[in-house]
Amino acid sequence: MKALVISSDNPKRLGELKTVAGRLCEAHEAVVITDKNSVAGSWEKAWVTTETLGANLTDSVLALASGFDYIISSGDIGISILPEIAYRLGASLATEITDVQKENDRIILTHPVYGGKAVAKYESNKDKVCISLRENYFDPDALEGSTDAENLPLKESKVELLEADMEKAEGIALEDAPVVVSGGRGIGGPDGFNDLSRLAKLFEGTIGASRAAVDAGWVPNSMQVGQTGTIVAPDLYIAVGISGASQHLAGITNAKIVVAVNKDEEAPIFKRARYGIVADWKKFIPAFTEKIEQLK
Amino acid sequence: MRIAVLAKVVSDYEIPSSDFELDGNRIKDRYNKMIGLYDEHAIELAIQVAEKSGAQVEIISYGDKSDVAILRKALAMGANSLTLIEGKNDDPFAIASECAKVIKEKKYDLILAGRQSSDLERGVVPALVASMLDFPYIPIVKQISVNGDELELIKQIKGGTLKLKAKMPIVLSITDDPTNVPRIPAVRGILQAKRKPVEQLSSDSTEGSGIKEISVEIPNIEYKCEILPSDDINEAADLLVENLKKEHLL
Repeated sequence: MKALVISSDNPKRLGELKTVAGRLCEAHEAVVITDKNSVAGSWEKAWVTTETLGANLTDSVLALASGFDYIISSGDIGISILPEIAYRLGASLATEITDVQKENDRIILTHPVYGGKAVAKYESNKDKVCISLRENYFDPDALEGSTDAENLPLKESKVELLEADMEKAEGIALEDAPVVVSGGRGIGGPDGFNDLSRLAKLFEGTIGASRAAVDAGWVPNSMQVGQTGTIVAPDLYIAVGISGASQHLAGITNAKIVVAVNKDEEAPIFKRARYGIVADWKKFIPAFTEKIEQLK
Repeated sequence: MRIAVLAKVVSDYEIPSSDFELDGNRIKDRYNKMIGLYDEHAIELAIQVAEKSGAQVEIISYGDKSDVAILRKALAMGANSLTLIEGKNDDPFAIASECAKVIKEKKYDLILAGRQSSDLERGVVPALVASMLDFPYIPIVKQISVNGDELELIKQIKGGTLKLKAKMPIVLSITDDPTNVPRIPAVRGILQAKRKPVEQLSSDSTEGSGIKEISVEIPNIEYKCEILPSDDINEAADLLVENLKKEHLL
């Protein structure tokens, strides 16, 4: 049995895939998007490529993939290339997977459905399986050592990259932050996020937002916490003016303590929270921020 | 130019978990029906492209006959016609092969779909449609501009965006963005929608993804929320500080 993983060079992403590969079989090979010529961790064989677009990688990975029993990826690259690979190889396909267990010869795959309100368990009817993981659900392997890599032979490009526009990352990344203070529709505009930012800084955390706040154009998309935004797992998550749509709650499943501040006592966020404050955030957050400042 | 938008009718995805019930392995059939969240963003984006380019926007959906009434909203928003492929299969390969058949016959330049449905949330049907038609596929796109047979598009990635150029025909999955928030249909649009063409097709696909569903269950997780008294805001803030200390967070 052999597993092929396809990943960015983010050690967390590659580590998660290595963890899952380890649960499935012994022999692992990797295709990694990077400008280096080696890959972290111990692999039977490794390929590297600087091509970042799934549409341009699918055919190259397909050329390798037929020799493998398990083809595993995650996030954007996973959903870009695995469906086509599964279709071409006649493999089974499972996406947005949050747990993988091998029980004797069966592989049990877990997939949240209905915005996380239910959980489906699947198994593959076929020997060859393509699995795309949801990020931040698996303990990443430590990736000890490193493996020299060959360049992945590329096929003809279908899509041209004109420009990458990356937001300046300030402070700690949302997915790694121990404390996240998030704002939603109830914040009422972009200015309120300054107040949340001040509070987040006192906790050495960062700020997030709900889809409503992002779609309103108040904050950039990269701040979105939720199933299709960033999946977070902080020790403390403070939800301010967020009603708690399923999409959002699915993104904070792994948060330890949730504090909800909302005027509407019926808001579903209180069902997920450990502590709730039914009040106008404009009154509560400055008062709370002041108390935290006094502690410092 | 012709644009197809793949849209799926789902049960209300905003019902809180306290009111969520299953009937066997699927959501109970008692909730309001609506077009999936991201599908509506895809419809809006298609209509915006059509307004600039004069393209035709045609909705393709796979589902129940009764979905037509719900899908009329897309016609009221400005789409030109609707094709419903009647079928009950939940398998993404089966759904994709039915959609691909219609797309192949009607010949579209641009095929859009929401990044994932708002029920089973697998996000693979548009990718499989692209594979079956041998078109390129780009997921999680939020803006498009058309230039002859070329497209420039903005794709969301973690921490930023990519500007890409690609040739049509192509399949794109669409994510939410302030620029593609679905419009609320005007009365005139609703009246016009009643006269727009609706075609109903039958389906017979037996393709399968090779995935067997073992179970679907509601997770048994209970959170107990302590509502801190907030008549006096300062006391409420003190109480929260005390509790966070207890949790070793301060």
